[in-house]
Amino acid sequence: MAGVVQGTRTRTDLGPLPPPEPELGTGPQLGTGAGSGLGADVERQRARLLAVHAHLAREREAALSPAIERALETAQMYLFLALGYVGHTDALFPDELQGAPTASPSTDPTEAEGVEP
Amino acid sequence: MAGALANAVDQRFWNRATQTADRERLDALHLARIRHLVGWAYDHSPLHRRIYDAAGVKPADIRTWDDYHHRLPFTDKPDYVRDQESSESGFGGLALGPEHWQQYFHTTGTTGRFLHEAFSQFEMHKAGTQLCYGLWSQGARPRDSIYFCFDFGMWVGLWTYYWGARNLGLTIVSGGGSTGEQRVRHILERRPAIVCGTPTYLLHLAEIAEREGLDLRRAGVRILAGGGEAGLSVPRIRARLTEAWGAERIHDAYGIGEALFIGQSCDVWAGGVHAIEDVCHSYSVDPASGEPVTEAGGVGEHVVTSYTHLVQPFIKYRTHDLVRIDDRPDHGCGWTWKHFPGVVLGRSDFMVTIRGVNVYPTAVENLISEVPGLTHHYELHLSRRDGMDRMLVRAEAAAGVGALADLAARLSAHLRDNLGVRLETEIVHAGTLPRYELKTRRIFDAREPGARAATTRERR
Repeated sequence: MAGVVQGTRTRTDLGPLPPPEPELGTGPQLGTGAGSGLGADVERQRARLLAVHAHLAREREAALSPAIERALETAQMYLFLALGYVGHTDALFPDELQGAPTASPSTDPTEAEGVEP
Repeated sequence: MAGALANAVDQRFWNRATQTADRERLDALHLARIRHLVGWAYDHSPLHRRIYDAAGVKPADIRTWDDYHHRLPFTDKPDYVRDQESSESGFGGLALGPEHWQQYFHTTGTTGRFLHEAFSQFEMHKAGTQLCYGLWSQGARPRDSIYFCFDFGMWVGLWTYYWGARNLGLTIVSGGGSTGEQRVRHILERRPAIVCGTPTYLLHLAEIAEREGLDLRRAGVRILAGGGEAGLSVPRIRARLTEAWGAERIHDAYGIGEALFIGQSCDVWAGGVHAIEDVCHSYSVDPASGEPVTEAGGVGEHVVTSYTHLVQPFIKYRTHDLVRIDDRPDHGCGWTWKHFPGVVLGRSDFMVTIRGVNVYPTAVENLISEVPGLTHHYELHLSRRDGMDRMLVRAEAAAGVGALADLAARLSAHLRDNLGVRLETEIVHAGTLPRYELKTRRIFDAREPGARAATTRERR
């Protein structure tokens, strides 16, 4: 959950925005799955939606008030519905995309016995 | 929405990409989501970790469908009830704490115990989308209006319809806190495109309108939508509703409190509902062995994994609903999602075997509606005498029908001819049986718990 609790992350200093995330597909929070298999146009839309999600997350970090932070959090929820429609499976709810580890130790395939590499 | 509305290619489907995807692609998405969800639950829900540890299973073991079917344990309502009773929070199977909750609900308690449920804000949004697939298919569009015929309470089903309306962009008209007669008048005044209620209550409003000399057909309602009972998939009740309301469409939704409205009818009526595969995985199992049902047309117990409910994950969860699943439907709607003809055929924990014949309550309900002179109001009373299951069908005569004994004989003959067994029948006068605003109680099981079908597997 990366400490994302509603209404508790408002930025109080007015410093510059955090640096942008790496280009799409290179950062773990942008999704590392093998794709939805639903077609190239769907996959392109999924990539664009992930980029928007990352932009919103950065803007949320820089929110000037609880009102803005909460509005952006809500926007991310709606955006995540769209990610579900395009077969996004790397995360099942919005906060999973924000700084959470991409795979917990328990889901590491090497942990299971007898799993072929 | 404007982009999709302006682009004609998407007009028929709420989400064409997945609604028309082939079975293999859908199954690949399901497996990816299930694996992710199992890991989430193992890491965050003590209940799931206990269940999986007790079975000697780690999330990374679940790599194939065979792993899912045969290695991952089932979960069942008693698991959650025991957990909620032993936890300080009073909730079972929690993976996220109260700081994430937006709303509290509980199940309807039809099986005797309330299951407490907590949903995050995202989950309520997501739950609302589940209704959009079906309502869109029936022709509902943003700026259409929807009238809700009920008071909002603790049952999540009504709320998800509300969130569905919000997600679809409908104008909401609340009929909360009103009498039936007031609701009829509201509907005639506000002329909503959609009226939402249980089938029993929608029929009840039609009776009130008739009694008051009001013509509901003048309200211009296009779509009647609801769920919670079998009626909206019973042909005679659909016909009666269409006639009384002048509606063009009847929309049925099937759900369970734990995973919400996961089944929706499409625009081509084929006698049932589709699983909403964007939000859950559905399959059926033999209630006794737990083995997947593989034969075409086979009846099995519905097992669900929800992708909507993450505060309390429900993974490989036994619903105890008996269903037939057509996993490659082809009735012309274009949806590739699994179809449940007849929706819920019965309950694995209300299963009745009379002289060797499995009798499904839904089949009895359909047959009652085919007997002229009866209303849609009825009750099924299950009992056991001398080691034998018995079913008494108590049905209500239409207004003005006086020869109740003759009607009982006709109903008995109709049931025997179609089911192959004789059931007891009793006809009561018009207006005798209770009317309910929410889920109608129709099945009364007086058998001792030990005498019922033992398909709820208690975990030691």
